[in-house]
Amino acid sequence: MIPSSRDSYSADGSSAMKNDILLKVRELHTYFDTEEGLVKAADGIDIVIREGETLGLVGESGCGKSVTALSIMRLIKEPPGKIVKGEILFHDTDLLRLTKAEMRHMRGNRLSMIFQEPMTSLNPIFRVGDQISEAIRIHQGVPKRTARDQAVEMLRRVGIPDPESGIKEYPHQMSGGMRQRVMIAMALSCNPELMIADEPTTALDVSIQAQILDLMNKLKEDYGASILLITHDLGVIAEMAQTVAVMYAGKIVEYVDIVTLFDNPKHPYTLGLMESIPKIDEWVPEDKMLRTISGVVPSLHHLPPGCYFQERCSEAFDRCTREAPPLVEIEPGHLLRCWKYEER
Amino acid sequence: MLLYITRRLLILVPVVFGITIIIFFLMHISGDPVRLMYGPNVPKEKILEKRIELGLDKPLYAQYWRWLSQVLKGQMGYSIHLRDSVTRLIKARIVATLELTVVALMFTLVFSIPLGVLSAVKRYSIFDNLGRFFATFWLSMPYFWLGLLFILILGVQLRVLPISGRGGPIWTAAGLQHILLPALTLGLPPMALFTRLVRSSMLEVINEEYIRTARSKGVQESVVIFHHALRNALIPVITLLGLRLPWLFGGAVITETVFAWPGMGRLLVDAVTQRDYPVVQGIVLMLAILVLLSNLLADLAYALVDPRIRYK
Amino acid sequence: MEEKELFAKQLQRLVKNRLSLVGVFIVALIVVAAALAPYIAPYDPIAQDYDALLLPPSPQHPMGTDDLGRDIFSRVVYGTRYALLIGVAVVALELVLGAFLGFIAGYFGKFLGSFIMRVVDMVLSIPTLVLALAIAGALGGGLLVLIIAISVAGWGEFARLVRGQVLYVKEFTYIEAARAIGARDWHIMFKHLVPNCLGPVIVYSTLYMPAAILWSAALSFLGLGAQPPTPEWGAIISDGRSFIASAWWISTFPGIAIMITTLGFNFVGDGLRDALDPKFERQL
Repeated sequence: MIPSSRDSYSADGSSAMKNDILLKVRELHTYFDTEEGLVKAADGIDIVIREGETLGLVGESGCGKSVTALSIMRLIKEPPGKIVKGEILFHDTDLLRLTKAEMRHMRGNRLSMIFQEPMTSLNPIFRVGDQISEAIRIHQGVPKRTARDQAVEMLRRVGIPDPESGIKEYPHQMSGGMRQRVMIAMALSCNPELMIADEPTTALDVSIQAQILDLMNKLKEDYGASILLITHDLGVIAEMAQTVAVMYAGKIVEYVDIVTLFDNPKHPYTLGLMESIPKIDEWVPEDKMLRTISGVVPSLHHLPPGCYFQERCSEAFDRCTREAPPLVEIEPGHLLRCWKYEER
Repeated sequence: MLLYITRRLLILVPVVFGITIIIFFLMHISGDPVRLMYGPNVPKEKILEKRIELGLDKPLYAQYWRWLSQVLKGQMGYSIHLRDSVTRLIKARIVATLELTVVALMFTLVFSIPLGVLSAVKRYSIFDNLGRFFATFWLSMPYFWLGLLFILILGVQLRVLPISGRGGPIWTAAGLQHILLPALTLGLPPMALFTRLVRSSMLEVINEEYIRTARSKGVQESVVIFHHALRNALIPVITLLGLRLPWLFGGAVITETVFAWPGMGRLLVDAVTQRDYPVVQGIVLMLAILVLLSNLLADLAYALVDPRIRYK
Repeated sequence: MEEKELFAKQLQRLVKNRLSLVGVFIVALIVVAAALAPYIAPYDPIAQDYDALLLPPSPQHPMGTDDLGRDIFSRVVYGTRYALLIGVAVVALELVLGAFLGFIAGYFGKFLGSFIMRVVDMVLSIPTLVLALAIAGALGGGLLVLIIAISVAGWGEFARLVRGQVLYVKEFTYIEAARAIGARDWHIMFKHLVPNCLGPVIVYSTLYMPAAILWSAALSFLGLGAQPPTPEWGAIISDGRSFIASAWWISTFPGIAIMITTLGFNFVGDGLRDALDPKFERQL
């Protein structure tokens, strides 16, 4: 389920958003077969990304956000993983129904991905320029020379100084920030419509983070691409996203536009996340300076009956332990998975 | 790059120097080589004569110095039995030995790399399990015996291939025929070990993140495996190659003996049995140098494949 | 994980274990054969019988006879003694030599340590077989010479191993020693050193036995090890070499014996290594 304001056709038949839908994930279920049992890493995910939009997918490690992204790209390792159910509609094509060859044609071309750790995500023995032009040569079938020139151009666009010599370098010769720029260059080299960014700044210094985020925003405008941004960092979301989906233990628990999320967060988990952001600009009493959400994420092998968040929720009550709440649209454009608001 | 090579060559110098000391003193620990050569029934004067002739009357370190300075000039001594300069003897045979070792190595790699990749891609299959067994099996093989088996089955019983001697340069048909069995004998035993290494290396590399990145770019799976993964996986293989080099040359000695291959190894064995110590010294030194040089080559190959090493 | 793959994985573990058991069985067999050789062997291994020259395998001579009428089977059985003797002796000698020098290299470090390691590097540059050959040649032939030659040629690896362990132990006992009284240094080092070294040393020894046996067989094959009429396997193979076309059994059976023995030790060594390794999922 997705917020009605995101859907082309809202309840009253009018189209709330002007742009076309680029990606529509419906009822995605990706499970993993492990030695200790079945893990429902993504359990019924519905998201929509429109053209030119940035959707943020927020949550702690292990909540299923990366799995969702990898499922969209069909990069899930099978075995032990498997996309059990669902549709991933890219424009009107269900990516899950494509053949391997057809999907390969999509990857790096119409949708691409950048990963968290640029050091390990780049092949250490190939030059940076070659790694960028590889995608260009595969998808655009241009000769080496042309691809090389395009690679230089890409490096220039991502802000790497002296790109002509830059393409000859190896990943280990570059700094973390530069490497991430290279990853972005690689991902954008074929002008994709959707770029998935999995924790793109987490491994970088704080000062570099801002630069990379700015770069991503600028390129998004230049290329007219959409971004699926995955992160655990609300600060990053605030900079980048127009819409946010908060995930917990494989499910979406809150899905709303960015302004409402920060103004009026409803889900206890989201509230907890908000409060745990250290506040530098406000005066806060000492005992409230750094708050955390008590407890830990439940193991996906042993999920409690009822709401998954119950053990850490300060507002949990009887029903939470018995029934798992569904995702409900509590206000137009605001989806929530919590009994607290149902009761009212 | 050139600097790297030069630096490595310079480091080799003291090593070779040390090796000459070791070789020389080991050869002369057994006491009087002349007495051992001639046996107990020869008159003292004869022995003394011979000793002076060979320069053995001088103190040990003087002898060493004499030998070393000659080696530096390219003269490795004079064979007692063959009455020829050791240098010349080695020169005549070194090509044959190198041929044998190189072809054997090629056999090893040509078989083990594809098999290793296949094992990695088809993990847990029966093929894979057998591979583990075979690795140990071949490591337990006395290769001189393997050579004899080859001779027996392919040479004698089936009469398919010649069993001794060298037929000519390898680009000739006769040459190929003659080198086949000895090279197989030398190259087969390490093959299983290399296959296992390629396999485990590939398995590690395939799980690396940059492989996932390659796939996310839409690269074909075969290119992912053979271009992106294999090149990285071969890095430890090169290291293992370097470590196995001494073994390779040692094995060549035996293989040459079994197949009457006209290389340095065979000469060495003959010289040892005849107590022709100048020849022995010369060949052992030569072999050690060959090992060191091929180690250097292996290191260069390593640097070629892995750019992270280059810029040190 | 898919059913099939999980099963295959478990099967692989079992196979690995089973191989070690097979190895233990083989080693036991060899030891028994060596100990009870006089009772198992039907003939005297060096007794010559001119009426039974070059006989193919038969019920009276399961492995045939050689050119002097000696029963191959008996010679192979007695050969177990030599294989074990040489293997154990070489490993023991190398252990002592290598451990001693390795310990010195590691403990005293700095100049002495690197000097010893340089020497090790040099020795390792010379192929073991070649060096052993040269030494055996210089000292004359014979069993004792064989053992010494191989040991001197191959102690380098042990030295490296021990030195590595010493350095490792030095690292973390340093912290403890910093707290304890200075005089206790030695005591602590030893206390930690021995258990740490024991594991890898045992594994390495077991894995080196087959190498020692192979080297000695090679040297005997070349005529520089066991002297006739000693029924050492390599020597028997060498005997049979000239008769390879007419009497294949002379060279073949001892070779099989070598293979089985080395396989046994290798299996045991592999099993030990896997057992001592915390990460059970080793891929090699």
